[in-house]
Amino acid sequence: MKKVQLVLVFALLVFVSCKKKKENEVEVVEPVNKLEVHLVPKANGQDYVLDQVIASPLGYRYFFTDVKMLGTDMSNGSAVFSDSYFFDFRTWGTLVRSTSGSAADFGNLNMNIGVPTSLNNADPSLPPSTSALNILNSGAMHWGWNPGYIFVKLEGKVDTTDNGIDDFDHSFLFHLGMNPILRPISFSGLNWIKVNENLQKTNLILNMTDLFDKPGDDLDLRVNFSSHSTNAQMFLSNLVVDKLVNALSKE
Amino acid sequence: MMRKIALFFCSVAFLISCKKGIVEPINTPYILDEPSHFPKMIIPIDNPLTVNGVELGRKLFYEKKLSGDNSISCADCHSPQASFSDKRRYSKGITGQDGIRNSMALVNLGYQKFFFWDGRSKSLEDQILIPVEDPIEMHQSWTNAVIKLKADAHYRKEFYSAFGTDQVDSTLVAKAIAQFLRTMISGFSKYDVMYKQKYSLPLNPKEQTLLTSVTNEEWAGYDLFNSLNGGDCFHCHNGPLMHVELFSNNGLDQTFFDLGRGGITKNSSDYGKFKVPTLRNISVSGPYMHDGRFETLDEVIEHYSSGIKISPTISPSIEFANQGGVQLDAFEKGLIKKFLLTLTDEEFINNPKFAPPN
Repeated sequence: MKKVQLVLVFALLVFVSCKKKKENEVEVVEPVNKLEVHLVPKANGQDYVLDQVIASPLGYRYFFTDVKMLGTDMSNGSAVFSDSYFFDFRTWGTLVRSTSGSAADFGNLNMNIGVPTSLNNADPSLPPSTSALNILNSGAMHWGWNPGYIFVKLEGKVDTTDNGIDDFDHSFLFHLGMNPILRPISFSGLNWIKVNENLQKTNLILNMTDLFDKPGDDLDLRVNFSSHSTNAQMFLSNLVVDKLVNALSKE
Repeated sequence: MMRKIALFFCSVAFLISCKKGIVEPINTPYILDEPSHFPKMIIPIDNPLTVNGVELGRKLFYEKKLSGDNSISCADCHSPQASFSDKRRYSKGITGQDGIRNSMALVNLGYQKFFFWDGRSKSLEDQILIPVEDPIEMHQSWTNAVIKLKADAHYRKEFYSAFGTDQVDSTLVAKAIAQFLRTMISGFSKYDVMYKQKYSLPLNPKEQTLLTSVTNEEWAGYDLFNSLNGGDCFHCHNGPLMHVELFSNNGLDQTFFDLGRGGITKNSSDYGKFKVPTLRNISVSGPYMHDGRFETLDEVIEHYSSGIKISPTISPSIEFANQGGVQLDAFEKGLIKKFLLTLTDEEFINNPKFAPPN
């Protein structure tokens, strides 16, 4: 009898001393549905790539070297997509922000170009590391707390001479920021495209040729090539950010 | 007797029934001393800081066995007295051959995302792997380096203490050195207390004392540094880390001997662009620029004042490029220089935790 008991104990110990997963046991993981918002710059109906020359109807030529946009509060009513985003076309391509969730919750999308005052004038080291507003993520988009974040950077080169040679002799630079530059934008009826089983994306469009050279504009890059949104430059910054808002659409 | 035999078998069963990996050594997490005005450092999940790991990393940073002829260590080109950069224009490898770039200062690396002047590495662990095998630097295969380290019983013991294995490889060496580098935080200079004062952040008594030593000229230099119509330096150098994470052509050349970032991306719009370095400890980290062409801060300031050269990829942020620079007068140049000197963090440079181990 004792022998039987001991054998049983022995066998039991062998079985319980090691929790081993069965060879064919498959762990069931719930698929995470990922959503991505992209911003696709376009020029004359084609995808725009940085450094690609654009011919202005006003008779000059220019190209963008950098397009960056920092913003907040991506949501649709109570459905929050993200508290912040940072679009950096040269570094990260067209991706604005990704999240997990259902596309059905985001048929419409509201967001800010820029950062509300309460966050704009706060310590940029404090937002969590996942936030686009953390200075490790947005360092190139911060001026210091008093003026706050740069909401939009549009940089490039313009040919100011009429010598028939593309010498792009001058830089243009629009650093748009300060609290009055904040702009809410909305997109409705978004098209969510299924990329694969777990990923859907929607494209927003930024029409680059709508930014500076629309006929009738009073903004000529050969003359108005710079704004840092100082008090004296706020008129120009407001003009450019409004043009940016109008240049955005859904695909 | 039967019972004893059964107990023996039970014990054996306990020991062999579970194939368990390497026994994890008890290892104490290393608590980073991050300045209150810094963002929180992001530590890779697969390389958490531990006391043993950091200490091993420090030892490896000063370890000459990592070079082919056991003549140089990382510290030979990244000297503590030079804010962990090199006083020489170009560092020399074991063959005596010059490199083509000035050694970057190793400061606050844990807050950065790209490494090397051309940003070819996207993690510290990756960056550390490169100089060992570079023929004009340490010129040794990792296989050889690891053989030398494994031959040392002390290292076998220390790797075990840090990582739970004595199976040393290049990945673990890189992880250990990366841990050490992440502890090298510089955040106590006059600039830091000026920054905190400017943005109404609380200062501790030690910082208050330091603040009282800031002169009017240093404050004026700070303002000029941040002025659009003054130094206009802040586009690339601002915030608690005193740099922004980008690659820029700062007007050094009209044509490029060294393509910089463009050599990595192969994109002509990146030609002549280099990683923007921090200005922390700039007074001790010369010579300056990616190729160490300027020996003094005066030369650097003169470059931005009147020496800017236009090229197709020059940064649009250098707004006065068409007139050769920001055109500072002698007094203004002096103020900017005085401000730059406030970025020196003596505690960092002389920190015994970063010095060679005994």
